[in-house]
This record gives sequence, structure tokens and C-alpha cells, in this order.
Amino acid sequence: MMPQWKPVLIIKDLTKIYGGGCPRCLEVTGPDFETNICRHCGAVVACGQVSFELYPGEVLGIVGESGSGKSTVVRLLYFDYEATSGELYFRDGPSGSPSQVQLPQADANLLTLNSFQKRQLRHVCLGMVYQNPHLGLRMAVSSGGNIAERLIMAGYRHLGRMRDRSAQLLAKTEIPVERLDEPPRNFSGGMRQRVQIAKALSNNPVILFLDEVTTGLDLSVQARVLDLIRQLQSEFHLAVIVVSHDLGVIRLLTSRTMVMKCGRVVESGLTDQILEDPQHPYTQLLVSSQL
Amino acid sequence: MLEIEQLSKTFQIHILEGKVIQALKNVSFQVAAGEFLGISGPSGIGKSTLLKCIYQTYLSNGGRILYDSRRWGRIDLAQAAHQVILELRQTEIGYVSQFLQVLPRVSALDLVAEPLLLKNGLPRGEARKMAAGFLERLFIPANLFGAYPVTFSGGEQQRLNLARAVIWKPRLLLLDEPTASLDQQTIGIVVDILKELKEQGTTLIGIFHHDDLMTSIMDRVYPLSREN
Repeated sequence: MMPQWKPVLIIKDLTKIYGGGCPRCLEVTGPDFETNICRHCGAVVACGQVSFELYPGEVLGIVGESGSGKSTVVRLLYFDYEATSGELYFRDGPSGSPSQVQLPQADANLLTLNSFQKRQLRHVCLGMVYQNPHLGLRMAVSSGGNIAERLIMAGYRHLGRMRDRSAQLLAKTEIPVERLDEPPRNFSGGMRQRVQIAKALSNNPVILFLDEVTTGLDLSVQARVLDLIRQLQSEFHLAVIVVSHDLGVIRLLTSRTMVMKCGRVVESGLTDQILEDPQHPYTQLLVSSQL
Repeated sequence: MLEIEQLSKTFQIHILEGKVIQALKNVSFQVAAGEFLGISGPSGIGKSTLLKCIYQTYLSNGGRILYDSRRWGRIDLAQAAHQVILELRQTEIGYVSQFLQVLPRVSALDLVAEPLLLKNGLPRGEARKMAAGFLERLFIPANLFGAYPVTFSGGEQQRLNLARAVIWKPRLLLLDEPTASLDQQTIGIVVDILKELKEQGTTLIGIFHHDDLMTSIMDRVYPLSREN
């Protein structure tokens, strides 16, 4: 009897094409052609036919060179960008649909939802930490206000409760609570990143996206952020997608990894297998380039 | 418990124009529950490769790795889904290499207590108490418990690594030379610990170099040779 695990997120053939696009875009791009620019119409295939499943409580890594489409994938999943084609299903409830959001039908392809429904889904079930804190935070608004913005979206209305919750989250991410009313522009890069994490966690998301969270941070802050993510992940049993080009981060945090090149997934497997027995030429090159 | 049938493993190295290296060829053996099997052979013969194939760190290219799991009965690890392998690693199969994978900002004590928290679900206090007892037994001085293992000596790291792998009492334990840089006295302790583990029902497969002490508690030795 083999077990049946229920994925929390199912992604099928997720594709994002910038520019006009033609029927042959997907045929003439990808790692075999060493390009993601269609030679017939000049469109850029940022990610093409990406399919995978994410299971509850697991940490999935996405690695690859710059421009390989890693961030595009998570930002499509967070509804920052509109996908060109593909299917996306999300389920955390027993009925096979997101438990906290009303969908038109239980088994709807989430990429076809209207923007209100997408926004609702994002604010109730998803969390995102961007590489660049400017994307995830309002720099001139107090840290507490940044977190409260998301709490309001998730249905909080009581100011005192929002302040308590913000303070609690900042404490958890090791930001002194006295700085609750200070805007993130007064903070260092590592602190901004931690405010973003606090904000992303404020609505108790089911899935957390981390886009290069530790890039550009110094080593001790990086260790602190990684430590925090590990702790929070085991505490809240979150499903997490970690995008990084740092193989050390991937080794430390993830159990499964996908390798992307030129907008396509070239290899996926258990993280230790990807790092120790890479099959694809690009993955072999990537692993052997590690410091 | 574990049955290896005609296991083969090749490495294709793309940087050498796709040169194929045959690491294992048609390896077959069986391990009974509660047995301690040693694997012997000269360097580069594929002993570690074999263990890594069983643990699924390496993808095998042919043959079957049949494992009698507690939860799902007999399954072929080479064909099993990633989720199954992850679950087995979490609950049944342990692997210990020569090198310690340290986690940043985690003290030696917490590093060893972690498997008890995550895998056996013990409360934090109890896990730390057990970990402390274990470390003392392996001659790690108590004043180092709170320190980060990155700063430890090679031998101390190796002992931590072993403690981390053994403390949660896996059902099948794969040992890849975990005693390589330990002195005779410590090896003696390790032998005692493994013996206890075996008495409690753990099945062990291990690689040890020139180690008479270890050979004394092995049930059988499987020699890997060039034909494999």
C-alpha cells in the first residue's frame, strides 16, 4: 500500500511569455537552445511549462542562474504577474479547495480567478518575502503599520489587537518592539528583511514564498534569518518555496529542489541528490562552481 | 529487511564529454532484521556509493533496493516517491557520514537533541537531557555543550555527528566511516553504543577501515570487488 500525500499546491505547465508570443515560442527556447528568446517573434519566455507539486510542511528550493525564471515562478504564484498559460490549484481544506476563501467552484484553476479573488487568496493564504524590501514594504510607513496593512486585509479591525499582533511578530523576528513605530527606511537591510518576514507571517499563511531572502546580508545576519525561517517553519508547519542561488542556503533549508535554466526546470529531486549526484550538465556545472 | 538486487550505478560526467563511469555493477545481497553487515573493499571500489544509493542520495541506474518498511511493507526505494523517501529518512532510516553538517547558530547540545525533538517528538527538556548524557559518554566536555560545533576539532565534530545519527534509534542505520579520525578509546565507546543499538533491534550496514574492534561486533562482511 503506497501512501497518498495531498499536495497543498499543484502547478501545471505554468508559462509566462513577455512580448507578442507565437505558437513556436516554447519549441525554440529553453536549455537545449541556450536561450529564452524566441527567434521567430523575439518574445522572452520567462518561464515555460513549469509543473510541480508542493506538499504541506515541506520546503522546496528553486535554484538557477540569474534570469532563469526562479523569481518569475514565485511571483506568478503570488499573483504579482499574470501567467500567460497554465493551471494552479491550491487546497488546504478537506473539500479540496482553500478552506478560508470562497471560490466560484471548489476545483477552480486559480489563474482564472478575478483580481479580487486573487487578492483575497493572497492575503489570507499566502506570504511573500521579496529580495528587495522596497517591493514588500512601504518604506515611509511605520513597521507596525506595514504589518497592520496585511492584518486589515486578513480581517482584523481592532487597532489594539493589531498593535499587539505586530509587536508579537516583531519580537519573534528579533526586532526590538520599541521600534514598532519607526518606518523601515530607518532600518538596516537585515532588519528590513525581518520586518518583511514578520509581515508575511502576520496572516498565518499556509504557503510562504522566500525570494532570495539572504542575498546581500552579512553572514551573521544571514545565519540569524535562516535560523528564524527554520524555527518558524517547524513551529507553524508552513509549506515554503525558497528561491536562492546560494546552494548553502538550499542545502540548509530545503528537502527538495528544482533546478531552472533558461525558463525551464531542467532537474528536480531530493536536495542532497541534486547536490551530490546531479544529472543534468547545467546542474553539474552549478554544483561544481560552489565555493 | 533489506534486499539489494542487481544494483548498478553509473556516473555520467558532462564536463568530460559525457564520459560514463561505472561505479557499481550488479551488486546483490541481503540484510536480515537486526543484523550488522560490514562492507569491505579497497578505496574507490564503491562502498560509499552503495550506501548513498540505499539512502537515495545517489540515483541508481538499475536493479532494485527492496526495503521492508514498518509503515508500508516491502517497497523498492529506487522507485519510491520523494515523499516516501523523506518520510523514511524522518522515521526509519539513518545515515551517518564522515563529516558533520553543522547548522549555523545551533549549539552542540541542541544539534544532538534536534533529532529527538523532530523525529521522536520528545519535549525539549527531556531531549536535551538525553543529548547531554550521550555527549558525556562520548567524552565531549560539558563546558562545550553550549558552543557552536564549527569551532570544534575534527574528532569532536565526528563524535557529534555520530551522536546525532544514533540518538533517535533509527530502524536501519547506514554508517560511512564514522570512526575515521577517532582514537582507540573513543572507538571502544562507539562500538559499545552500536552494540546496544543492535541489541535494541536496529539493523546496521557500515563501512569501517582497518577496524578489528568494529569487526568483532559485525555479523557478516560483504566484500565489494572489481567485478561489482
